[in-house]
Amino acid sequence: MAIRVHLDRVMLDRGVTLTDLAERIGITLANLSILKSNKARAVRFSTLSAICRELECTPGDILKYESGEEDNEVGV
Amino acid sequence: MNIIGKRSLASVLHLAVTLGLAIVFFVFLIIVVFSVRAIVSQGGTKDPNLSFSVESGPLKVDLTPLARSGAGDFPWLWVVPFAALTVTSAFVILLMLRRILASLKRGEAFEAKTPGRLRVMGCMVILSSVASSILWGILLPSIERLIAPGSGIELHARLDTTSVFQGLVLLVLAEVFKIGARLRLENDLTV
Repeated sequence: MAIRVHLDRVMLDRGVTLTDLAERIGITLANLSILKSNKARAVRFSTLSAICRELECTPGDILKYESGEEDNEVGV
Repeated sequence: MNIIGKRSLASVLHLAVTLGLAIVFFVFLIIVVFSVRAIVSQGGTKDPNLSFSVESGPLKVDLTPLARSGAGDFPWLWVVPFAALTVTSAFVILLMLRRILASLKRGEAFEAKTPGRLRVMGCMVILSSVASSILWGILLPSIERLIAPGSGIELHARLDTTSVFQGLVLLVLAEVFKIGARLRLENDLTV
């Protein structure tokens, strides 16, 4: 997928662990791990909002569009 | 009672289908014994001593011995593939159904393997129906010889269109479940 998740960088900067963040935003560690490892197919706005709130960042800090990678999946 | 999940209708059906599988397997063993016996005794043209008849849905096995004269000419060995075909298709259909019900018992309605299983079931229903009709058509002349003239009994070879329709419905359902499985995967990978 062309959208890359750089959650690990932001977490490292803020000194927050995956377990800690999962607990704070109210999703399972497994789901957060899926997001962090770029295996997620979609992210809910509510989840993105909670992550940005806890890490004090913007969606653009976490999500990056990297051109050149095929992105054939379209969904609304 | 819930329809899917633990202690649900799916659980009860799973148990029923498991018992049905056991019965089909038992019938298969009977057929094997019968066919070996028929082959061993005079090349399969002798009346069998075994008497067994089961009819339930797609499963039809009739090994009733015929007491009429000329029964020795009946090609008993043709009955074996007919019965084997019916039993095998019933076994495969029940096995696939059991696996689908097992996943429903776990609460997983749209498992990735379910579409494939439904497709196998649909194909088996259609193929066994067509093959049964063909075998029946082959056996018909021999069976007609055994019917007393003037008895008023008439036999016809026909394609069971109901079974073919059911098979096609299963194939359509397979595609529906394929879409469902894809949606489920999307949902699972939505954070």
